[in-house]
Amino acid sequence: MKKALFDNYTLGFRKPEKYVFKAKKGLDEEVVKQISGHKNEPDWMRHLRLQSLAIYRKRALPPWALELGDASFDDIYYYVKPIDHKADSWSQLPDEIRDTYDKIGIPQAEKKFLSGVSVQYESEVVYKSIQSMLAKKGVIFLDMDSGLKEYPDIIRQYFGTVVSPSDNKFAALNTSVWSGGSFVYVPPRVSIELPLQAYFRINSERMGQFERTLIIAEEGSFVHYVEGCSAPMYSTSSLHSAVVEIIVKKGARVRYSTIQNWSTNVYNLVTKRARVEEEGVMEWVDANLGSRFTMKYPSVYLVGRKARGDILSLAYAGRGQHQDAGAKAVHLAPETTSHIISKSVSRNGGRTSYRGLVAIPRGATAAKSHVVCDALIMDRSSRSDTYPIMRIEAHDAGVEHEATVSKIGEEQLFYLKSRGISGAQAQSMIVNGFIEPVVKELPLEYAVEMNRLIQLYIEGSVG
Amino acid sequence: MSFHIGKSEKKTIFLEVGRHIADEYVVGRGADLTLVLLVEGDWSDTIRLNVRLAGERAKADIIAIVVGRGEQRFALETVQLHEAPRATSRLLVKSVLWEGASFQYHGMIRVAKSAQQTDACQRNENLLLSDGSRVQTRPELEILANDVRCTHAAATSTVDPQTLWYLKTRGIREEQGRRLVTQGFLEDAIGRISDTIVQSKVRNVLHLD
Repeated sequence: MKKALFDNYTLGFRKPEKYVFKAKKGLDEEVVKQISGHKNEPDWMRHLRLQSLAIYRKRALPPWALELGDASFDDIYYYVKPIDHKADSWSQLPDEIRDTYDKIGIPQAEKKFLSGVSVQYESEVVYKSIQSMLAKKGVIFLDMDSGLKEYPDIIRQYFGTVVSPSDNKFAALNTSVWSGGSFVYVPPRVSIELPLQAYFRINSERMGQFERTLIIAEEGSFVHYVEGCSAPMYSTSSLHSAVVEIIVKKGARVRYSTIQNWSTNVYNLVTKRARVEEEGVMEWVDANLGSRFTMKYPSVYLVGRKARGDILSLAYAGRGQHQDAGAKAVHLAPETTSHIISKSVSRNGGRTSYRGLVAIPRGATAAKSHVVCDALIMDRSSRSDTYPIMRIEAHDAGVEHEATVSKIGEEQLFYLKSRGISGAQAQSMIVNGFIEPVVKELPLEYAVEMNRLIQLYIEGSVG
Repeated sequence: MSFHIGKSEKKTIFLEVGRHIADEYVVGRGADLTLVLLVEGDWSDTIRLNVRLAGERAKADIIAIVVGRGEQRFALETVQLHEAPRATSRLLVKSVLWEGASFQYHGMIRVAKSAQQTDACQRNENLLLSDGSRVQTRPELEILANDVRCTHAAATSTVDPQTLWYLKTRGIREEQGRRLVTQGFLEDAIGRISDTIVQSKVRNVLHLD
């Protein structure tokens, strides 16, 4: 059954659009005002959107993003509202939306151990189920638009404090046109045992998605948020530019897992950052398999003593794909630690790059950072790059970085073949072993999916 | 101007303050080049070392030692450009920084599509000895061939307090202990210079003999 499901996906499926409101193509003040007006937002948010638009126009693309030249930012719709009310149960969803999700197995997954589903379809969360357990614990898990309506004070206090609109061009773009995304608030000392999950979809031609996610973990709390993406295929390029802000308070722990599997015409330009206070722990698990071009560097800003950041990054680039992934750790307090593990596989002319930063300014005494980057190049036409920067101004810091780039070992292949395993099967076994350190950190069902995807890519069904 | 090391030639070049650095060092088929760079004292501009492995089975060993004191600022850029198959390059950059000295290192290994079976490595180690000494390191790789083995590593730290404590228990004062550790740190690079004349020159400049 699973096999059929993936086969279906590889062909790509799309559904006829149903929407109640669609902004005109392109981006200007009018469009931004329309978006804000349509959502009945408070004045401060409208101002922030307009300010951000001005910043977006002024800022240049980063020098390594020149290939974005072929993405036409004017030729997309910046806001589409799919249906006019939100469904609170599965059966209330429109048929074709439910059908889309059936194909990728959401109801099945839900039966297992979903603690809350927030499904994104065309820019807005249309389906959401929060178990009473969450509400009882005082946890808020909403789409961002509802969050802004119901908890404007909390949002106003934190929105844009971790990723400001002036941070980079795409953060500015997102702040001016954001729509959807998740808002999670975990009260002090509350621990959410089951992962919170959200599914994201794009299903409209030339439609861009600009989710905005904000997670606040109060003192001593714990939450695991899982974001999994997949998208139908289109003929024209699609833009996805999300911003994720996470605040990890004293002694809290947040894990954020992502499986990005957009179709290979999507430009995926994401800013993800966590601010970690004293003895807090932030863990990013970030897997990138899809999209045409991804630029994503999950970051931790360690602002409190003994704060810790772990970043696990996985990238797969096949034909026509470029994964520009990486990680950033900024140590701003004493005794902070960071660990970064990056694994990348390039195949069929794909290109993977690791772009990383470790910064330890003066005053961040006894900070430690360890970075490991491993890359696997599967054939002659593929490419792998590594661009790390380490800026160390605290003399008692301990910073290590190591990287290797290699191909699959001939001896390993030979050994497996001698045991009667076919060449392609042997390759996929070795690749799955190579990415294991990252995949084992994902929830079980995602780990299984990931192994199957790699198997399918390498054993021939997909390029 | 570029400097060529011809077919099967073996050569060690020592670069210190005041020596001219070629725009590019080109290593030919089967040739073996050792470049030793000693950065201390009056270096000012950014130092650029470009090594191109142009012939099959060419070999390059690049050893750079940086010693900074006071308010000295050093910057070094290295490129190991692999164009021919089955070539080998090894790079080791070690810096020791006292007081307010700073060092910026930018290293690149670039392997062209044609350079199959390349074996390249790049290592940068920095020892920060004072509150105020700083380092920025960018060890980069661009690999366009698939049958390669490329590694890079960078490590920055200060003298391990436990090592100093151990030496103290053996009757060695902290200052002396620090000096011993620093010497051992540099010795690792000096020991890799096979040309004994160049090796003793380096020791001489660093007062390690």
